[in-house]
Amino acid sequence: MVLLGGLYLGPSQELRKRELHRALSKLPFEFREILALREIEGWSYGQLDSALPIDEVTSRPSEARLRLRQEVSEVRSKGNRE
Amino acid sequence: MSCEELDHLIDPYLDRELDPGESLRLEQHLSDCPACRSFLQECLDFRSFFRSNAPVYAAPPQLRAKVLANFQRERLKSELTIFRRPWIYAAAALVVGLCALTILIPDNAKELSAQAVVQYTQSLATDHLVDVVSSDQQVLKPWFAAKLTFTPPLADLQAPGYSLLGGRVDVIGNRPVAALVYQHDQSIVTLFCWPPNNGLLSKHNNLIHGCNVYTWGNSACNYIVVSKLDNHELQTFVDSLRARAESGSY
Repeated sequence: MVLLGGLYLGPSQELRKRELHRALSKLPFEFREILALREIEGWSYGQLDSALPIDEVTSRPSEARLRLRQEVSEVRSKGNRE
Repeated sequence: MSCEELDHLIDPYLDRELDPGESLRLEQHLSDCPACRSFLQECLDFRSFFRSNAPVYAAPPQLRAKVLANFQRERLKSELTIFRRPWIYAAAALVVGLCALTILIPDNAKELSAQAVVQYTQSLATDHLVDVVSSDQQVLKPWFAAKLTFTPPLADLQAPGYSLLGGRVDVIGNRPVAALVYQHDQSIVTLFCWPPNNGLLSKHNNLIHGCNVYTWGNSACNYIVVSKLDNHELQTFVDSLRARAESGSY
């Protein structure tokens, strides 16, 4: 379990958008793909399973989200140090 | 259920992909474990952070059709050859989702409409239309009051021929909103509403992902109505709600 504590109650909307985009750009393609299809297009696990050539579809959205949260955290902590 | 198990199951649970038995076990654990409740909140915050900060916009229908055609063609090709990793169709799918990011900057109503369509589509795809099953104001009002800081103006939100199936709470534009679900013939109509604290929603009618969407706002609430219903019929529904609100029945 990874708790990032208040990570999403960030500063301005613009800054949050920039942080999210930077974090997304660091993710491997497969993770961005899963996030786009699941979070934005609202695909079910069944639809992901039939469309994507990957195994263990059920654990993929969690992995992708976890990676993204870690990247956002990193982008944010770097931003704070700069 | 242990905390570790919950950790693995929380995403499928929030994606409404967990079977009812496991969902129940998970909810029982949540009610006993404050740490896991914080974790749940964190996951919810993340989702709303992602949805409201990834400025996604629906691809135009022609692009969508083209992408989906590529998708199927590439899939077929990958089954016929040893080409196991059809990156091109995945890339094409991503065009629909992420790459449209900052190209088109929609106004607020369009962005919120796109989010409402996602919620609508998801509720149909997962067959999770309502969390409270009732058309009775005496039931719905306290249910919403317990979950939100406002209650929808239920007396206004009725239209002949549209039976109210019940309600649920969704997140649109980073805020919790009330969702009321109606049935008309075989079609589902979902109305999202929230108080217009951050500005009144402008009056629009859009077609997004094959759904007709109406937005408008008045002093009581901002509204988004989404349905696959024929646009003319949906317009009649929306007009009748607007007329009721203007006649001051609430």
